[in-house]
Amino acid sequence: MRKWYFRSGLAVVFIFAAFLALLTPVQAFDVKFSGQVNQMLMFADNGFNTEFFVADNDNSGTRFRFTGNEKFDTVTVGYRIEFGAQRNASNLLDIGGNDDGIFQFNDRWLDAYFQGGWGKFSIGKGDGAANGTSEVDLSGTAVITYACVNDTAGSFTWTFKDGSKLLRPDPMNPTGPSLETDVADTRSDFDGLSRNERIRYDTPKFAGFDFATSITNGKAWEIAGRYAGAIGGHKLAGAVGYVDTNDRDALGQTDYRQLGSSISWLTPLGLNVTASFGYRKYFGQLKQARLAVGGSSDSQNYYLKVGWKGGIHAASVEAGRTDDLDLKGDKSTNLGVAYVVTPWGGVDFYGAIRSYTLDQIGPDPENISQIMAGTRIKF
Amino acid sequence: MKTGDITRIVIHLSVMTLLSLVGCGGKSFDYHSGNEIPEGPGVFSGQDGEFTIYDSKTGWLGEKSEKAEGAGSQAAEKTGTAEAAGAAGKS
Repeated sequence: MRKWYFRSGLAVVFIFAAFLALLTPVQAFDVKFSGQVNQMLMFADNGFNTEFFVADNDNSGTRFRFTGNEKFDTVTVGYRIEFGAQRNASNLLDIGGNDDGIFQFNDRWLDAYFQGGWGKFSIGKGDGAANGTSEVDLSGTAVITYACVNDTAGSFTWTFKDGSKLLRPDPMNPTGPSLETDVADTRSDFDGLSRNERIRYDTPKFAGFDFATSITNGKAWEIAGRYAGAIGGHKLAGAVGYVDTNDRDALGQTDYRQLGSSISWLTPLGLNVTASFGYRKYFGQLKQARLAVGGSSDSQNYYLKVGWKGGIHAASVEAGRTDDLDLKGDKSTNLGVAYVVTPWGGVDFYGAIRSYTLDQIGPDPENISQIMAGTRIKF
Repeated sequence: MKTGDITRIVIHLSVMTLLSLVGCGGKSFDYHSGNEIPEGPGVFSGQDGEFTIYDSKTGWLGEKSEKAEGAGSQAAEKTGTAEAAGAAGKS
């Protein structure tokens, strides 16, 4: 198997290098710089205490990027280098956090690509093939609410009325101390493997459809299909993605297979509907570890958003639920409303209210509520 | 295969089938995620939404500005010379 991988990889590299060597460069080369700042206020209540935050909105965090490409005869060669620069990111907030949090400088994209009529090859860090397949959204409010709730609530700890935290055993260390359970432990939209060091192939687009596959370290692989088309003033977009983590984590913490899909429909009147569904099934050491502490061998997520978008305005209401992500019997839900206005090109103002609930076997923790408002400025 | 597995696969296949049926008569568009840097203009970058640091046709950003200033100065000189010649001709 190893020899097959190695020989196949070498063959691809040599064939492509020979192909490029035969091409004559055409002088059409540019280098561009762009980015955005996204900051918000958040007021949160975990049922025992409240907190006020000024934070970077991790739904679409502060970032900058360099892109460039050169066109050869029939091939465009390009790159995308993108960094996230966030202070006090919203996915790390929790009640009790009363300082400016940490500063994170993340490599988001370090990607080289080759694109032609035959499709696109990408290599380096960037979106895996299935990234975004559970998060297709035409509502116009995704900057503040979308299928992934963890970007703005993931680190909020489930808390009881007396202030005690929800503690649960660690499947990877069942005899060790129990760990505090947060929203991200109980919610996921099962959306691919995010950005990773991968080689990826995208087919050309035909009739609005395109397909992609990628493989990353640990031989984890993804495959996805996407559609985006407009008919009679209606816009429809959707995607389906499959993930097999294979050996990605040597500790066995990512041994699962996952299927995610989403679809979003925007009508000419501005009414829109977005739905997302995801399913994950655990295998091997991770499955056994989960079952040993009362976890489930599989988990699923449902998400629905209904909205209206017109002119510079967009508004939506949402509901989402993840079952059995942490322990069997968990039903972790959220409700939310959002509003976004884009008065000038490159400037969004947004606001949202969200409430999170966890139903578990045993006493339920208090609900977590958030009120958020902020701005995203593209520079 | 369990009933639940079959149900989930049917749901996902239904999404793609629905897209296929509806999409056959549609005109494709480039979907852009609301979680990425927005398309369109930027506050400082203008209509392009990005700064062109280097362009093979016009050079570096600074060179482009200097060339633009230089072209403007030359144009102003030519205009001044033409006006002076015109004034001299009249007198």
